Amino acid sequence: MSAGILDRLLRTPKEVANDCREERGAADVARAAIIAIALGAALFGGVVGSWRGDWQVAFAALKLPLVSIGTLAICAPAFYAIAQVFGRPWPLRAVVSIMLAAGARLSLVLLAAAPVMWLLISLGASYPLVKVLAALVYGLAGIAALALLIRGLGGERGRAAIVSIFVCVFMLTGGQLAWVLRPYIGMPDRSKAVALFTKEREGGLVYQLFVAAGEIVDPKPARGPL
Amino acid sequence: MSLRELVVVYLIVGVACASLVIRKGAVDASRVASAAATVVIWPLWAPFALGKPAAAQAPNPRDTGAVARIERALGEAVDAAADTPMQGVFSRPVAARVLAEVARVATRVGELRALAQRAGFDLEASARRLRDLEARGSPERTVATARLQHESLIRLDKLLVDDVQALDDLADLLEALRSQLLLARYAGSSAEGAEAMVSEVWARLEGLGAVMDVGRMPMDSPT
Repeated sequence: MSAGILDRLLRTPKEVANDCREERGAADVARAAIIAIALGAALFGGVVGSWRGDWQVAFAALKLPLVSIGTLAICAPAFYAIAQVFGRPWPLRAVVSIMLAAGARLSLVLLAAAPVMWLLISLGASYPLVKVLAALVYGLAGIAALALLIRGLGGERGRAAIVSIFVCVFMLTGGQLAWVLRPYIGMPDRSKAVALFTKEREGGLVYQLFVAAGEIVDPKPARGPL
Repeated sequence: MSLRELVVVYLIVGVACASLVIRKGAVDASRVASAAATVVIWPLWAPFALGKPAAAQAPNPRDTGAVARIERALGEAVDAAADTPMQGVFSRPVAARVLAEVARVATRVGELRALAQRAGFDLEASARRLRDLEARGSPERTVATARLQHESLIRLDKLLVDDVQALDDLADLLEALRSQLLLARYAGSSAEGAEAMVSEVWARLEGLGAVMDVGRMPMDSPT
């Protein structure tokens, strides 16, 4: 993996986005990005899973990269189509490399937030707090990724529409995939065994986030795993 | 369709893409790794594993903006020269002739790029074939033919790179000319520098024209 490319992703995202758009070293960016996404998500997943410990660390470290890369894989054709519709007849390689570069930036922010998360979990953070913090970190990482995506789309007309539609598609797809592959933090009820997947039906992700936020304000027994 | 069926279909497409990656050229460790990655994440990796390496492509002058820069600089230079002593040297018809020549070069660059994408014109593949034939100790006649093919492709590639560079250089020169003409117009300074640049523009266009049309007389310079 090229550390230089990752350094450029953080320091000069506009330059990387331009290179992707013009297919200058796009394959190298894609290769480094895929590895960064897998490693960043795996480490963050492992940290989140450490709240429960045991096998949950490995399960979360395995599932979070699956969610990240799976979401990008599912959304890639949509992003390509949306870009074409809004006047960006770029090659598939250019579009995918921009998307992967944005995903790598997201994973690097996750990587940077992992030690803080680990510290909070070590200090005894509650289950709802860890859930909301993980969502906040993902939100922050998403903003960092969005910055690269916006730059990558250039200044021509239709940029806002592409970003808006793509963010909606990405969030819906990512949210659903993450929901299907849960839990990551683990079951709050420590008497239950660590499980790779949950079989409980608990409504949607957005509903669960509201529930978790409510539990921070008014603590009571958690209703289900995230 | 159940999730299991979806995964099976996904993997079948992945294996098909991976087999194309393997068949694309000589099998080495990096190609095997690329094929393995293609099986799992083909929507993300197949465009890179199966596509032509971007590094081998010369940039399209229309993509890099060289032609647009030339068009813009020519328009502004004509406006700057209007109603000044330089009007006779750099008029609208002169700019139109420059633009026509640039369009011919840009078209040729496009054709060369299209050629480079076609099967049988892959520089890397021809180099690899030449190396393979030499390593296998193939007959000298076979190696000589492969070498001739490879050298021809190198020359084609060089033509493309040189044309793209020439257009970029011309865009730089015309932008400098535009600035000189603007300076002469507003500061009332001597237009000697601009005249020299106009001569340089024609010299470069003559060079491009001579390469493009073997046997054609060089363009008539107005200077």
